[in-house]
Amino acid sequence: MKKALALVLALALALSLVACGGSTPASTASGSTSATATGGLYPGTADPEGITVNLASEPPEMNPLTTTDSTSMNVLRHIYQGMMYLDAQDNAVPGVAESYEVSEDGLTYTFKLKEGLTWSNGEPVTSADFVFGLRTFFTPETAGDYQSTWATLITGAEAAFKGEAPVEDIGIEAPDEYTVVYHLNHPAPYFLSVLAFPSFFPINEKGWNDCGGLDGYGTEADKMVTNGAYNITEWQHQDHITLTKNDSYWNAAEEAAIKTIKFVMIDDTNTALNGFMTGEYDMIGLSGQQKKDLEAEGAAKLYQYADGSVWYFEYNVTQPGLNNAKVRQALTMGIDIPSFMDNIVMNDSKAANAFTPDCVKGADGVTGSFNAAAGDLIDHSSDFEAAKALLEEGLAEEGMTVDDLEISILTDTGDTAAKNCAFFQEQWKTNLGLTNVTVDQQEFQSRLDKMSNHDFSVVYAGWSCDYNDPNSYLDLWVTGGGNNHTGWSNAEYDQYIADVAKEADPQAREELLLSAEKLLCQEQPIGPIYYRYRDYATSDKLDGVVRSAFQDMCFLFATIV
Amino acid sequence: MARYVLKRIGYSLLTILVLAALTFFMMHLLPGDPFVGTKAIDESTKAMLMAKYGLDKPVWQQFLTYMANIFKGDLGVSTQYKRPVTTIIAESFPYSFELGMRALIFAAVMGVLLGIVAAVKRGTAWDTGSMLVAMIGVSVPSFIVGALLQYFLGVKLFQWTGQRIFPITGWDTEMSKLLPSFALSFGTLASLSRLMRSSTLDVLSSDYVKTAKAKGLSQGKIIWRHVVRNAIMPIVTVLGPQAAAILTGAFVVEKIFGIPGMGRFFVNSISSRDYTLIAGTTLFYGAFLVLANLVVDLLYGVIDPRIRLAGRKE
Repeated sequence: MKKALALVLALALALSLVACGGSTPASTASGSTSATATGGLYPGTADPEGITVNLASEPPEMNPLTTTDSTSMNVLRHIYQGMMYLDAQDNAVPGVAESYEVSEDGLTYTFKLKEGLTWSNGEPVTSADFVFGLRTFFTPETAGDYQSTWATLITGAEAAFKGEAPVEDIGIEAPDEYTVVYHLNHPAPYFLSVLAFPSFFPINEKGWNDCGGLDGYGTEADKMVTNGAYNITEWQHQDHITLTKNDSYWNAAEEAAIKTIKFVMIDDTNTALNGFMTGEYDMIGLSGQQKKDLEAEGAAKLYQYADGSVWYFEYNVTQPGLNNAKVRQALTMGIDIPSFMDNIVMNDSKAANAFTPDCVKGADGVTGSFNAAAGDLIDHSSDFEAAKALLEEGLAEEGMTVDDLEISILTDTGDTAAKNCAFFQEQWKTNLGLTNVTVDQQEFQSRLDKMSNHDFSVVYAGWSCDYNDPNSYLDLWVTGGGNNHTGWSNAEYDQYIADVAKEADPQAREELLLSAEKLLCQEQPIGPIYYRYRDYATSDKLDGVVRSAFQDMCFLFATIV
Repeated sequence: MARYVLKRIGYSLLTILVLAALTFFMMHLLPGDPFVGTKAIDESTKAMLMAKYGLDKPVWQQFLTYMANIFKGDLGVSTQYKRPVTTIIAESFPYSFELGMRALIFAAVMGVLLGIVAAVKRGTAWDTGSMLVAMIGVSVPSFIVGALLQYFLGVKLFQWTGQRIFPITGWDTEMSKLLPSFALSFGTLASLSRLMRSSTLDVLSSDYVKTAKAKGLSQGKIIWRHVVRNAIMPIVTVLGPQAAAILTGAFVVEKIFGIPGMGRFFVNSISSRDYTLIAGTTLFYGAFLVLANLVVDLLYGVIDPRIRLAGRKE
């Protein structure tokens, strides 16, 4: 017995020793552990030259050529720079480019590069890097999600990424070391802003190969060669990423005033708020309730921004009843939007007056002008009598009554989705007298599976654009589009979208887009509900953060006060 | 003994193999695949991705390849993070392990102490107090304990004193490790103390304790030399399964305290259909738990000769 006990005790001791010494400790920025609560309500971290902000999760894909998510892009836009980049107002301004010319037909873009720029491995940034980047992007083996999106723009790209033609044939060339020419399939007024997107970033070929090529590039801090305003100096997976100012960045005197940016990856919103309140972080995202709480406490630096997403019902138009446009319009009208905003969304997000949100630029380059030109296309007047009459009229046309209409709302698992759908269910019951409304909560992948198989009546979904143009929203609903799960097909609509791609005159192009928008909101295969705004708070010391639909987080213009 | 050990090891390996096979086939039965997202991707791009990760082959063929690779120590590359699964496990598991072990050791020491006190002072306020703690520990989940600790000791204490005594997140200083370890240990501590109490009560009423009392030994000596040493055996029995529960249950505590452990990968890999990461983390946890149980089983053999003899009879 003594022996056995000795053995147990020895094992326990051994385990405790391992437990105390067996792991690598996570390091913290020197300033973030000594903040005190004095001087201002939320003074933030103590480091006078650096900030700590919550990125919320590990960036899954830090290779610019294959990245798809906003988390990774929040880091990438600080460490790389494309031909163009976005300024604080989302305008595309020259980055690596010194100047550019656009041909009259809008199909050829010629860029002169700044000379003397360097990569983090010391190599000069030249036209070859842009050619190598774009060719690698459209190489079939790269298999990036965005290949098909951008292939419509660049000549020869479609055939290249499908493996039908050599990638050397795509529409990019480098006549000399500091000149790059892009050839486009169709005029695209938004092309300059597309050049600020990671898919079009230059890639240093030597760096790419040194970092292990497609399988290794961008997987660790030391496995990427960058040319941006910051260098990535530390990446502890699932914990934090540290960026340090690149002093040789061409505009280092004007931008990137903050020396170090530490991105932490706290996915629990309550934890993030607790950390913010105790000065561990300088910026966190907030839920509607958290924003109200901080407001009540007197927090000064609370902000909100349109994140570019529009939330809507996707109706399955192949279902009896829902095949009638009046029925679909009535369902959209049957929701009390002010009540939805106050009780469910709980911030100042806007009711959708059309599908394309007001954060998108119109042909005149003014943010919101397209949405304003579209006008009030969706009836959110809360006139439920009219909605009910319209519903009954539409159903009568299909030989149905309100009792015949069965609706199953397909949604994700989770509390927010459940809350949203319970609200819609109750609204349709109260306002329209619909009693056969059920909620079908499915785990994310199962939901997408059901959507693809038309196994739903209504899905509550959201969409954010890829580029700053109404087309990025409207081309979703063409016949057979990969994201069009409604089963809706309209030849007139398809024609508008096809014509948009050919039209070189910006004004005529906008007219086509407006016609498409109006038709979509008339037919309503989708019922736009609202444009989402997001809330965030910064500490007293942080100013000038840019957050918008096109740059979710940008600290290039931020300062410490 | 050698035969008993070999037999146990054999069973353990078989368990791991069955686990690997079940996990592999069941995850492929789930709807969706790693490359389905909210944004639709081109067919040719998807075909290229499926081919790259070998997902275009029949599932049984993928399984054979997977098993062959396991024996080479290769768990594949995560489809979501594009990094080898072995690297992800090697980086994140030490955090989970340290957190789990701290919680387990704390729970075992405190649980045993509380249990003894409750049993020896049976019927007194000590007993009621310890069992109240145990009752709360069993009923309140670790994420509630974690959130409360974080709010009161992390936020409120900071606001009152102006000093950061307990950091909200992180896993670097000793102070940063206290709250998460305690939050994770609380439930186990509670169940261990209840077990220890009843086991101590059994031993207290046994003949040899009465004999010891009759011999005039002091109460301290009786408890330490005779009672605890015998009463602690059931605790050893449950430590294996408890280690399992603590390690796999650490996910929520890791999330609340922002600890870069393995829990997040283990849980999130399923919703993103990251097949290699699902299989890799499940297999790793499985192997770890089987190993923990094996150690406990072997300890029985050392402690209790009857188990060895039973093995020989077969």
